[in-house]
Amino acid sequence: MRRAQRREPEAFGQLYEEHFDRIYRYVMLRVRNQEDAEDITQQVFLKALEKIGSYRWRGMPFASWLFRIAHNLVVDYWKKKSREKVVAVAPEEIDEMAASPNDPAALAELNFDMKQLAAACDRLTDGQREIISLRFAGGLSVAESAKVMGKSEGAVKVLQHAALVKLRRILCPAGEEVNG
Amino acid sequence: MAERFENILEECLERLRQGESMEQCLARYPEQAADLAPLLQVAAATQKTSSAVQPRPEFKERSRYEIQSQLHGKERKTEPKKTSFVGWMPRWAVAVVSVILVFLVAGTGTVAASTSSMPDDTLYPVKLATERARLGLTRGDIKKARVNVRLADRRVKEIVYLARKGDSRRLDKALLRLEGHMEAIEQVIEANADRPKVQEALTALKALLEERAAENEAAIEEATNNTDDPGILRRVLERYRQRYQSALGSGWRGSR
Repeated sequence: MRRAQRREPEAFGQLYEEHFDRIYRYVMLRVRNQEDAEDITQQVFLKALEKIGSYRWRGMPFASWLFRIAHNLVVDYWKKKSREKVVAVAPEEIDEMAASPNDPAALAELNFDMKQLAAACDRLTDGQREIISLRFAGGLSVAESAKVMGKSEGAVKVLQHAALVKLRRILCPAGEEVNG
Repeated sequence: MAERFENILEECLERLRQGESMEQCLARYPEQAADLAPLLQVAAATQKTSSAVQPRPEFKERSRYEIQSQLHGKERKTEPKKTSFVGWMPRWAVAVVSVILVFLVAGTGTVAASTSSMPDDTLYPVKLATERARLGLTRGDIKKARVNVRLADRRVKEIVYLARKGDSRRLDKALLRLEGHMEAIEQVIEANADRPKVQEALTALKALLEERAAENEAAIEEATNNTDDPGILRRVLERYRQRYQSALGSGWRGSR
């Protein structure tokens, strides 16, 4: 890390290789457009290169720091597009969490493609979409995601729960059998 | 009740990530299985779909070239500023605050009692505060790194303890702290690698780190064999190995 902070090409290259695909997947799910996702992903690493000298641990793992940059760029992107949505978990979603229309024994694999997933994520709140993208596209832990989002781990778990409930309802409406 | 379900859901997601089957996971929580199953299914499918997304190779290559051009264009223009462990406080203020803190608390005997406390003890925050004070009062990067080696030992003990108790939430936090210590050690080793005057101290630091790593690895491995959930400790072991091997560097030929 210190070598990367001194802008040594080999050290920074290692960080680039380690995180590039994860950042791209996260951005792709957030902006749902390949061209824009590529542009933002490149900006993330250019910005990281510019700011890496100021990175300090202080409880913020490097992956969280990098995803925070990506998160900010995605937020800017949507501001420009004037499509920012509500961040907080809506109270009525808490009630939705209690319902479970599916049989636990029916563990057939659920399948959907990226287009369907992106369309489903489009119907989530911004916070829900963020946690799904960080956890399942970016591969961050709850603790790392909490650092990116500036929330407590407990709040992130609540958000994750709400997001999965809603995603399930969108992708597999009640009464519809899962395929597989 | 609601809070508890979120924790169970997260624990199951972590278990799936470690390779446990959905059936095994649900069998652990028969009462919540009906609520858990559809959520775990959608999480697994989301993970699978997302991981199939890959950047175009030509884009990745172009981006890599752009970064390399930037790196070679203006190497080492910005040296990171030296800051204290508190960050926004000047170094002298950290020392003064640390001394006051240590003396205030030490007088009551609380510090001594907190040393052996675990993350689920009420005295644990005192332990962490005392450690921060100790680091703040230690002069010199290499001496600080040696303190971090010892603090990493403590984190490993805590992780083993939390694994036995099945407290994955606190374990994740302890792992983050452990990685923080290891990263701080690595930064010191890298920063001093080219300084002839400190090579002896640096070699001693690496030897200490290697010795402690061997013992800690053995402790984690032993705990792995004595827990219901070896997956979490295997992940800890893997990350710990990566960290200390990275800190020791490829050129290190220590005692082993």
